[in-house]
Amino acid sequence: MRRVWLVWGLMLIVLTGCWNNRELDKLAIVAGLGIDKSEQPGEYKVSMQIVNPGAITMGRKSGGGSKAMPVSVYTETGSTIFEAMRKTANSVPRQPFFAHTQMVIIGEELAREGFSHLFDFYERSRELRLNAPILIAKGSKAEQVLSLITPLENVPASGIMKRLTLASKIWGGSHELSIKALLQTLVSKGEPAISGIRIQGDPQIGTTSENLEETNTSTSLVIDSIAVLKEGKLVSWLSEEKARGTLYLLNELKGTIMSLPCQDKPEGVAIEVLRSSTTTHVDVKHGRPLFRIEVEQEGSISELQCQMDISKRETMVKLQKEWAKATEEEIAAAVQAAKEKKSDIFQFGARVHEQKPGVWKKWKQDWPEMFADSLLEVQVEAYIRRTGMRIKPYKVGGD
Amino acid sequence: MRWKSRPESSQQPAQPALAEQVAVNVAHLKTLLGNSSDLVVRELQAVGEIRTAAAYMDGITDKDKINDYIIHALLTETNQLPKEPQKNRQSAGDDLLSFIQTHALAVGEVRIVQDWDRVILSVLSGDTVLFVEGYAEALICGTKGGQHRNVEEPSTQLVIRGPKEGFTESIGTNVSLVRKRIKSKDLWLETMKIGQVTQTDVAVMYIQGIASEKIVKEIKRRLNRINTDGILESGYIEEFIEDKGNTPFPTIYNTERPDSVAANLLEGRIAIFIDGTPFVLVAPTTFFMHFQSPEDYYQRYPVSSAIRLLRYGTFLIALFGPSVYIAAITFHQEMIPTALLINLAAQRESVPFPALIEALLMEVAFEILREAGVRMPRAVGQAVSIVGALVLGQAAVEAGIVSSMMVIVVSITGISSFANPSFSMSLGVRFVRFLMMFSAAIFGFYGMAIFSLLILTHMCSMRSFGIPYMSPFSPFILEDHKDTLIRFPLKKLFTRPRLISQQDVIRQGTQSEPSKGRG
Repeated sequence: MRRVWLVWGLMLIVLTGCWNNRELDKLAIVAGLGIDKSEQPGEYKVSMQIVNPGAITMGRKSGGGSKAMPVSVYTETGSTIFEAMRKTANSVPRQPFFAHTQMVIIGEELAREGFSHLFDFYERSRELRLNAPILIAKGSKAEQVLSLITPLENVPASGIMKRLTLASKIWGGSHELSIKALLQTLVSKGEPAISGIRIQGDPQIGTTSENLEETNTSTSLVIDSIAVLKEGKLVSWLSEEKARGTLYLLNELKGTIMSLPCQDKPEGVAIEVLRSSTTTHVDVKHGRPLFRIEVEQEGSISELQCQMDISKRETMVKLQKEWAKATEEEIAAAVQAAKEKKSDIFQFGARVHEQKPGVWKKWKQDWPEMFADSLLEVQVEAYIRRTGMRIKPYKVGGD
Repeated sequence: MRWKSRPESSQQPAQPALAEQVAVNVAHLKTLLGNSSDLVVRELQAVGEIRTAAAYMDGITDKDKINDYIIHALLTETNQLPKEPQKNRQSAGDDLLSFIQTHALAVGEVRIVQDWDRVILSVLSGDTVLFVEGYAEALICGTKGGQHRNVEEPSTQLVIRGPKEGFTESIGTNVSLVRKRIKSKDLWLETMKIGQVTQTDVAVMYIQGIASEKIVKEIKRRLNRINTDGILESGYIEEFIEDKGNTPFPTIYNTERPDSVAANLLEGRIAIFIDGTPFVLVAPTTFFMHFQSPEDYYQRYPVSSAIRLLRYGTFLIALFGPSVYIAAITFHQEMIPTALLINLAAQRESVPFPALIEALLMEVAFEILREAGVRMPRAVGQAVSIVGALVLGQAAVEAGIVSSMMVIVVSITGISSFANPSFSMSLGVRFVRFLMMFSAAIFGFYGMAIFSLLILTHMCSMRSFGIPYMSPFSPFILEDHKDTLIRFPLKKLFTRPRLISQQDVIRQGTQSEPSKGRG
């Protein structure tokens, strides 16, 4: 038994574990982190959205009667991110706790100047999560985005996080890029595809509880575009179809709705994409990179606004072809837009590195130029698997 | 601290031999018992004019038996004997005593004894002693009886399906309850008296040929070694014969259920009955025995297996519940899902204590409630449990002394500790839980892991009569896993636990499965 005690004591001393003991009521849970350019040159403005737990549950108990806001935003400036973060101790009564930070938002102004050097503290810190996504505040400051309160979600940062996940899952207009993935693309030659978040409506009203007291919310947050970066600097935005084309190319499209012409109506068929998978092959043609994109997707018809007889095989085949063509166009448009800005947001460089390592050695020096000069071949195979709960649409007035 | 220095056996001076005169014997008996008023002496003239005296203790004897079959029989039957006992004394004397023994006494058990020790012991055990004038010997008639509880449903280890009989305080009844279940000539019983003052009957029961002879011998050796003044409950014996005293975990199983004892005897274990308690000890014991309820074998096996797994789950909750909570909210906040963490933070907002103090407050309050619930009179039990559980819990949360989550954690922990079929084991778990809470508060999950390791090492190092406590896990015995974490169908349980019954491990033929196809 003495030997057991000895081994036990040794283990306590020698092995490592989480040391410090912190009571929950001494922590300020940071839900969201925003980084902006400061007025002072070379300084950053860091905003933290801190959860006010008391207000959240009090609101739940008394049916929203509480005056306290569910979150508070604290802002500090500093020449490094960590300095600014620590400075908030002057204004926050509790120690900020970053392990539950839902996402990081970069202000557009800072994004245009470049922010790729800002993430070292993220990797170094033991608290911050590398799987939190990153967003760029489109047309506003990160601080403003963090200060908005919106209905349905008590903690706005969780709301943004859920919006992002949902939008990329069922609409396909945004890309959930984690800090970890961002760091991986930063160290390679490609550019990250970061989603943009914009404020719709008056940002001032959005920071007050007034925003929650209207049925038709006057200020809301929208995630609907993907940033095009060049050398870590924001140069332009891709939206709608081009954003979706980007997701196809990244093989990250999980689901979306595509509209196709229905007889005389230009967008009368709604097809829900259920599964999609993209493979990228790299070839060399006349010394230029050639990317062969193969997309295989399945979907179902969700809406028909004309009398199309989809019980016929030919109609379905036609519809599938149209769908494939529309997809090809979206992909081509996305690539074209990125090529114009010489920004490889599709990680084509990484594909070349994987598939043609010899060629990559020559190309990687001026990869943005090579990318802008690349050729594209897109081949889409689209299958409509289901038509919903009925086949032919109802006929108004009948025969 | 054992009484090693004390001399073995009789401390009193040697008793004088029995006298030939009844009056002397009766007087001596009375003196020996300190003129206790419950000693009844009935003097009578048997065989015409020979003085005899019957002595017994009131209350522990069967009075009807004494009246009808001893006194009445003596007064009528012995009159048929020729009235010249003084002649040819030597042979006639023997004749008289054996005549009384063979013809007069209509009780099942009659012995002739010569020394006072046995006379006293018999009288105190409820037998009747019969002195006959002119003989330095006494007749002992088995008339044990008196009041004891009827066979009732056991108050611990209840089952829904299964026999409802429980042991009583009478060792004879208890032995018979097991005999009724195992009608085998191999069911052997050995009785001994332990306790110099109490002279408690202790019986060792086992099935010859199944139980390991080595363990039987070891148990008997340890029982014989006990040198104490009194045995009042099986707990005394348990402490005296167990392998390791310094452990919160029971190394000897105790049960109030005859079916449980019978099942354990069939597995090759040995039962120890102690007079005066309904709890029968079963040894050797493994850790996993404490998670088996007799009902596991009476209900369908898939359900029983699931319930048994649930029971292991409740053991873990009872052991780790509050400590996991403490560790998670003071050390590992990042592990808790965000929404839950915010919720917990809001609850803890108004609590002025650190999590450990909060947990200790609630746990101690709960232990007080439990202790009060066991000790207090039945009539006030309801009131206390309502005040304790509902009012105290609710008020403490509303006053902001403890968080509601802590009340939930403590409640589920408390309920889980009741789900264990073995009360001795849940007592041990209750104790270890507090130590676990401290290690969680000091070192978080790391401390819990280290402390659990220590406990596991301790449990693996324990043995019960030579059988490793953690078997069949340590050492690993694949065959015995058929009835450890889950219960296989009875048809598949054809072996007995390997280590326990070392001789006859095959339980049933494999042919007990119905043949397929022919139905």
